[in-house]
Amino acid sequence: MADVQIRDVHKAYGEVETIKGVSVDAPDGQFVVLVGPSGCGKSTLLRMIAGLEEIDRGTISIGGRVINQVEPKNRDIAMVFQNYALYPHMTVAVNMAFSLRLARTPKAEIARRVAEAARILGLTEYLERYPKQLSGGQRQRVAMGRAIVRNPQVYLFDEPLSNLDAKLRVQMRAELKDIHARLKTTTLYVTHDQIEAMTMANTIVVMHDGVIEQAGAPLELYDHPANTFVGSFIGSPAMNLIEGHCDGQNGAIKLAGEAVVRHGVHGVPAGPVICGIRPEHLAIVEPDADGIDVVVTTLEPTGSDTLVQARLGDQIISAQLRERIAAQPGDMIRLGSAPENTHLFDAKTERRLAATG
Amino acid sequence: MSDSDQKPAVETVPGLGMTARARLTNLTIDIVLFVFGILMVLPLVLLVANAFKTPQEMVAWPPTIIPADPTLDNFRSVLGETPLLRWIWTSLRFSFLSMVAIVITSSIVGYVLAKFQFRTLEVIFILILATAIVPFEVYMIPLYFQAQSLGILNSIWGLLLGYLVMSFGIFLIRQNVKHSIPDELLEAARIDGAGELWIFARIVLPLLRGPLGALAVLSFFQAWTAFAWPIIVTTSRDAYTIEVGLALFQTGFTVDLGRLSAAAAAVLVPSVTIFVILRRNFVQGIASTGVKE
Amino acid sequence: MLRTKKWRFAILAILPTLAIFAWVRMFPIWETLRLSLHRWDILSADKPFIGLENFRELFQDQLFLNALVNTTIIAFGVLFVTIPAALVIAALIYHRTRSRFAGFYETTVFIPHIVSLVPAAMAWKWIFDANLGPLNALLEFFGIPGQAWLFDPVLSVICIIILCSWQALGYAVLIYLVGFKNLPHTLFEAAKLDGASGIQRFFFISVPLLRPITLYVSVVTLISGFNVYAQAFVLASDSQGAPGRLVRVLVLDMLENAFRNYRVGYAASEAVILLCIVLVLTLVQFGLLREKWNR
Repeated sequence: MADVQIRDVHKAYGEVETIKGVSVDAPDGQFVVLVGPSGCGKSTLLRMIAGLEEIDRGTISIGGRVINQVEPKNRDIAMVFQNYALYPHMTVAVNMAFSLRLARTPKAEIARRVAEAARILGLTEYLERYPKQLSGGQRQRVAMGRAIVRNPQVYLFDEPLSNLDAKLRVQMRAELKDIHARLKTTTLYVTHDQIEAMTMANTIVVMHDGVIEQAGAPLELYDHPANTFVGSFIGSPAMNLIEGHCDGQNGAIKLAGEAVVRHGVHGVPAGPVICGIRPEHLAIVEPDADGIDVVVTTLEPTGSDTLVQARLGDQIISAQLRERIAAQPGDMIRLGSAPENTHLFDAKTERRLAATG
Repeated sequence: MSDSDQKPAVETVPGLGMTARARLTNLTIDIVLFVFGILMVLPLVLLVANAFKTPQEMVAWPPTIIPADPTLDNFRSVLGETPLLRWIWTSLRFSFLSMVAIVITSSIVGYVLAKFQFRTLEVIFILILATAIVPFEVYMIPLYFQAQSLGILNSIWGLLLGYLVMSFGIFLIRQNVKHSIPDELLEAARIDGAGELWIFARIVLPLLRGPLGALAVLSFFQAWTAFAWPIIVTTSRDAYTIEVGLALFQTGFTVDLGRLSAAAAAVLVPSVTIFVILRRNFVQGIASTGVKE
Repeated sequence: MLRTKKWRFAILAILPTLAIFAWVRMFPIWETLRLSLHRWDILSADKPFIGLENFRELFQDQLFLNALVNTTIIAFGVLFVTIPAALVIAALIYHRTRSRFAGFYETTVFIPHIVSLVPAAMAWKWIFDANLGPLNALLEFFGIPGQAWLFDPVLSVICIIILCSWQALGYAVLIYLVGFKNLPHTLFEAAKLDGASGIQRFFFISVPLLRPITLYVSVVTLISGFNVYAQAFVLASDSQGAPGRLVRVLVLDMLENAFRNYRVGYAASEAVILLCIVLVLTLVQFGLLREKWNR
């Protein structure tokens, strides 16, 4: 068991810097998810921890030992790849035993560990099959098993669920979480799917363009996004970001037209701001209440909710309403939200303005 | 079938879902292809048949495919006159060694060029690709003098000198590695603690069985059918490959058709048999020559 | 450090092959280019640089010009026989892919391509034989007088074209079949619904879409046509042991100059001309392909 410390790490390919000074702490036994859009550098970072990419500048240490110059096999890590990287010409058992054989582990010990991992993952009856005879979910489990038998200090996952269909992904998500709860091994997990991040992580690290936008507990990121990027990246459907003007006094913001929303932030100077409101925090309000008048463009009733796309000036606003509404496309409705649910961001830096409430 | 909506049901054969017309077309095509196929192999079939015929039967019209009075005289006299078996043995050894050399060099270099990204390697790859279009005939004269200065004319090593490497083989393996072996597989092995040589031998090679088989068959037959190079490298009758031996044998003044056919048949029958057995490997290999990046 | 380790493996792995490659490929190619600019005879010790003199002489050399013309006629003759035939045969075989005889069709068409050149040419030499051959027997059966196929320079060229096409066909059909299998199946179905007959689908869909393949097969066929040697050696050699006098081809002329006349530099410049032909064909292919994608 060990923690992972990443200190001011840089990486460039030729002229292009893909990692621009990143520091992450993954305390012992934690499940840390690196999330961000594709090309943000999250996979590169993971591959540097694995030793598959060189580190240009900065240090990475595992359990207090700097591993910049250590061979991948000596880092005491195990990695699970998006496409599983199972050896197609070896059976499940041989795939799982592979690294132990290379390390000249005694046969009996190998057999014991493979059996144990197979038991944990429910693979016992598939041990003699070849990867191509397995379903996607089973292959995913074999890839997990290959990591588990090594009993490493750190697990690295590179988008392990991306190749699965939606239903299986939800199921494997729960299984992974369960396995982590049992093994309690430090885990770094890369994904572009913020729902995976929200549901599995102890700590989420949001990356964008080679830098860390924000790191913290899932709900912390949801409730207090540090900037507009995190605001719109975490949460689905994405947060509405509306340009507005703060009058500087009574906690009101004028948006396009005559619309007004309230916010709970103290001491915001007068001037332009970006106002962020999550679709699920919008509701239809009385005509005389504060709110924004929008023209409905599409309605998507999902049964439990109604997803509304509506037009405010030339901007599209989405709202996730709890009730079923009678409006038709073209109708005007008035949407409002509670002041504490209004996030304010600086119009220039796009950073969060103070804390709400 | 869409036709059945508009046309009367008479045209549709019940249960088969195919119109009578379509069946007639297929039958016609089958007949055409069948006849064409027979015609394509007929010259070879007749040649082999001739090998077993008596001189009288050989000039009979129409030619018979199964000899009325089969005889082995032709073979007996060819074997008496020429070192045919020795030529075949030389060709076999030459082809086998060439195959081994090409499979080894192509697999290693093809793998490295596919999976190790360094600027220098790109240059090497382009160089290899560029020389691939240069026909052997263009550079075989200087190569001959190299063989001469090494003193390996009239030997199997001289033959081999021209058939040690195959640009296309390198290209074929590179493409296959690129398309069928994901980087993650190699990375997983590195994390698992495997050395580079080990990865190549135990992971890459087993996964390349198909293309390596195709390449082996291709390179073997390339050497087996080689003509221009063997004819300049070998000048003594005992060192000929079967192709050269046959070609020079058939220019002889006194050689009759029966013995010529027997000699040719002795070469054709085994190689066609091997081809029919290895057809899949062959087709895969040849087909991949046309596949571009 | 991790990098250097990978580097070391890569270098060590490819170095032996690269050395062989340089030794048996690069160096001889370079030598061909170098010798072509020298008067390089085996016999004389003096081997002076003479610039393009060899090339100037070549284009006044009747034997060489004759070889160049013959070879060009053979190469294009094979092309014009092979490509249309291959396209039709491949289309027919593709149409009957699910027939239980599909394997038979492919195999029979392909066998001539894989058999050794010399025995195959010997079979055709017998077929074309003026006295013993079945071709003349067949013609006479229909009341047409037999021809001295292999003793007439023009007829011999035709014989060589027939032999080479017979051999080239299998390869072309195979490549076309790969092409057919890669064509999107829905296109044919859409055309069927649009009311196109089988023959219309062939001309309006298969032929245009297979254009890049046609281009590739054409260039390969032409290049191997320009390298024709064994076929001419066997078919057009007279029984006096003076092989290939009747139909002179480039490779033969080159080898005679090098090994019978000992004019190696002169032969090398012939090789360079052969190389130029191949280069031009390859560049034309790439040029046409690019034009196609840009349109």
